[in-house]
Amino acid sequence: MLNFALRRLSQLLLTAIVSSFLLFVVTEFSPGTVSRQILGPYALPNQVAQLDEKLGLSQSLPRRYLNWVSVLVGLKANPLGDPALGLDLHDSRGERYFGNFGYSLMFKQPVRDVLGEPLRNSALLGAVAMIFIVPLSLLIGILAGANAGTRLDWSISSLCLIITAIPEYAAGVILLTVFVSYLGWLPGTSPLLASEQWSVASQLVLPVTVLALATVGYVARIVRASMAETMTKPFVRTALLKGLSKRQIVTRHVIRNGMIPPLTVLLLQLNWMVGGVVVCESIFAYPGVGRLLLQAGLFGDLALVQTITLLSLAMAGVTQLVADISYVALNPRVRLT
Amino acid sequence: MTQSENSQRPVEPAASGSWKRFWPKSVRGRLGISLILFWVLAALLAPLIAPYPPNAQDMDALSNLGPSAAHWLGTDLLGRDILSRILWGARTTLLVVPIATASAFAAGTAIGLASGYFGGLVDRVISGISDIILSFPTLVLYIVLIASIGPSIINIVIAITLASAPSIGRIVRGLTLELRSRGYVAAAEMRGESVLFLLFLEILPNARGPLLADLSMRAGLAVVTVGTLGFLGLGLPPPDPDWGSMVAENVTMIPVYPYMALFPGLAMCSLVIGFSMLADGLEEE
Repeated sequence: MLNFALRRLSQLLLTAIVSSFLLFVVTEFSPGTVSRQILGPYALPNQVAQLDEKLGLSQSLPRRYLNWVSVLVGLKANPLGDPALGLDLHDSRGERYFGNFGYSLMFKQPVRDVLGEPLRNSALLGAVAMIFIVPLSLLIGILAGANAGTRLDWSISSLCLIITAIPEYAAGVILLTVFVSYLGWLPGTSPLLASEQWSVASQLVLPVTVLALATVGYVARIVRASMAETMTKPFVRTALLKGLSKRQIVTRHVIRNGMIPPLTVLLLQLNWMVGGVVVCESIFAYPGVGRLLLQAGLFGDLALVQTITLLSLAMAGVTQLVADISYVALNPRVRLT
Repeated sequence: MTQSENSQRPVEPAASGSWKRFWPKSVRGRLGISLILFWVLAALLAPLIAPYPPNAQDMDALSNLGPSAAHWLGTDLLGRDILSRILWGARTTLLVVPIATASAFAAGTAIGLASGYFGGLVDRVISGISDIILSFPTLVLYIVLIASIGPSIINIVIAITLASAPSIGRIVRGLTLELRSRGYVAAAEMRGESVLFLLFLEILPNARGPLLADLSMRAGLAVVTVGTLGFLGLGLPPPDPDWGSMVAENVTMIPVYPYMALFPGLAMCSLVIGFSMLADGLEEE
């Protein structure tokens, strides 16, 4: 077990290095370079070249990647923070520290200062959504799976199929139309500032619903499939023959055995939610990382795009690792090779 | 259970040349394909049936933006007919989606066949790269890519191909691994057929069942992607309509004029639901 965990961990490290390099290459290829952005559209090409030289951007790609990583782990000072450049960028944490993600050119602040608040907001959104997603999807999936083949199952599965298919932004629009435009029960935007009319909690309702809808449909379908398969196992027949009621069979035997695949899926769902979070936050003007990533991407704020993508990659890697390990830990039949 | 039912049913010869062969057998599949065909027809006939040109502004309608006899679904803030824009927008979506899906499938099938058939180093390299691409959350990958290379039809196709080819490759790889040990593949190998013949004429046609269902699901996902990119402002540049950007243009008006964003959103939903229902129906067969 420990061996397996260690091997997966080293794999994760390798993936982290390669994917961060890929990310670096893709973002560095974007047309608006950092120097061009600082100097503005009217700068002469030789001025841009000069600044490139100073910032070390004229070096080869692998060199630049190494520079970037050394700034990140605190071995080098970020050249953008040099007071001689007159960019007026400073970092209260000092020049060199571990986890230095550079400066956001959009906000003229260190990325870490920019990210703190939105990260907390998005984590809140994700956590509240998960509180609803887990019990709801398990309940719906178990209900459909335990009654596989019946009309109830067909209706639940069809509904889940439709709900999963609805894109997040379309779901957002439909909910806004009903609850904001016609009923007037909820606020249309969620700036997370309590106003006289709307409390912060009421501002969370619609974003959480949009986020939960798509995920619940998908996870419930997987729970249903796993439950339906477990229902056909011989031990269910044995339990039936020894006189247990259907309720007892489902709660005592089928759920325990049928929950292993959905649990890992739920963990991996966290990654899928990152995309949903971006859309959700832009619909409701929710001050989170997703909207920040979109703004940064449209503005061309390389440092911010790279940092947020790195964070989402790190989350993807860690959840994958936890999912793999928990799958093995929960299911003694899985042999480690 | 369905397996045993199938084996007891008399085998009917496939009516070759009859279009009925392609008509899905499940209710969901039929509903799905009807929705898709509806939008395909709407897109093809848009120039004939759309009441107005997509970018024409009706200044008279500005005093009453809501649905009326002249504008069945109302107009947007610029007085452009929403029904016409939805019909024309179907063309954008149904142009980009098939190209992107086909290109993703071509790439995914090629890498899946190669890694499944050759195994060894080829497999490890392809799977390694695929795993890394798959470790990016999809939408983040799109934002990074499109923000870097710029929004255009070609770039959206490239982004969708890059993001979905690895997972298609995984499915094809699994199917290839299973099929390459079959007798007919060994027989073809013995006859001395070329590797390409084996891959594309022996293995691929026999993997078509699960692949068709996946194709339909991917097309649905591509519709969502094209719409979402349009919504996020990473889609095609204005003024030509596409559903995603129509929603984005009008989403702030929802408290006052909800239909402006609602109708394009519903159009998008119905097409995506069509593709997922078809995928579900094909999976059951």
